[in-house]
Amino acid sequence: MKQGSETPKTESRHPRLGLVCSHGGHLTEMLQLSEAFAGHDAFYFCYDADTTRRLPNAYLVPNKPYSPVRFVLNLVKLTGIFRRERPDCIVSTGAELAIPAFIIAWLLRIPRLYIECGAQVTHPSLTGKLMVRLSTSFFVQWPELLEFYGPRARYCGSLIDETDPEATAR
Amino acid sequence: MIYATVGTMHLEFSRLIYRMDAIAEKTDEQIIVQTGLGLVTPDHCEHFDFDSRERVLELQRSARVIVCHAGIGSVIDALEAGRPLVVIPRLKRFNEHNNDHQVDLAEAVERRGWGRMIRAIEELEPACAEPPPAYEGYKPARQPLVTALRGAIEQATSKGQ
Repeated sequence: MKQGSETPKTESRHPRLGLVCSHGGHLTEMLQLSEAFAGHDAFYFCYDADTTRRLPNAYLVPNKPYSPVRFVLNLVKLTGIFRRERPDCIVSTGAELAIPAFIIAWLLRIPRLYIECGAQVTHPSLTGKLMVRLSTSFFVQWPELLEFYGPRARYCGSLIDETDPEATAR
Repeated sequence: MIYATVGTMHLEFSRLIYRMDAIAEKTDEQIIVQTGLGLVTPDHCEHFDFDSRERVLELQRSARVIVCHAGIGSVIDALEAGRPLVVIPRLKRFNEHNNDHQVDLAEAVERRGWGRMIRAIEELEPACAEPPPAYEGYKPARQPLVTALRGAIEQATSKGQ
């Protein structure tokens, strides 16, 4: 894939999404949200695992969440991927793998949507505290979290709970 | 059959695996443990690190009791299987997770009547012997979040065109 032969901007194309998540429950959540991505082209950026090797269009990196070296390598790799794939929007369900992705997307001025993991019920996560500042849209899955994350956070329901937020009308 | 799962976390959950192993030593019931990325494995029951999603869901559906860590994927899968559920949160003080957020999810599970939370490891054996009733008709309300996300994506991708 040569970079010189990019699609001209005038030509219409489907919006392209970069989906960023780790390989366990965060991936389960991403897949459960897939209806929201229908009609869009997408690629994944994930940790390398059995579950993620089956994904179409996936860029996989080693599962080393606390390695500073890996963090820098991910920044470099993401810069290349985003330049090549030209995503119109980055979506992440966490976890910490979203941090380098959102930093690069922020630098490249690509919109960034973060959905806090449904396992965060009453306390914000460390990644979430960063993401609420780095993202352009930030969703929580439990209303209890709104007071911690402030006005940038939105609660529009969740993947796990049976409560319909519209029925309980905020 | 009791199915126990520790999820895909990179930290050990040996507290659960050792206890399931101890239970397996005493009972004739089949016990199957998913051990994940950790190095600890049980000696007295079947175990595997990872398997296909299909096989895992099948194991959950055929279990008499599901015992799982309080990770989001494991809990949702277990609820969808509709079997009696026992949730044991990974704790920071045992280096099973980097914080104690799994306690919050396990408490939510209990609050909603979806299953029982294990607060001390000694509770696990009686909880497996007499689990809470299965939560019937679990029906998560996912559509509002999906619709909101779709709207946010459309708004984000239409800018500047």
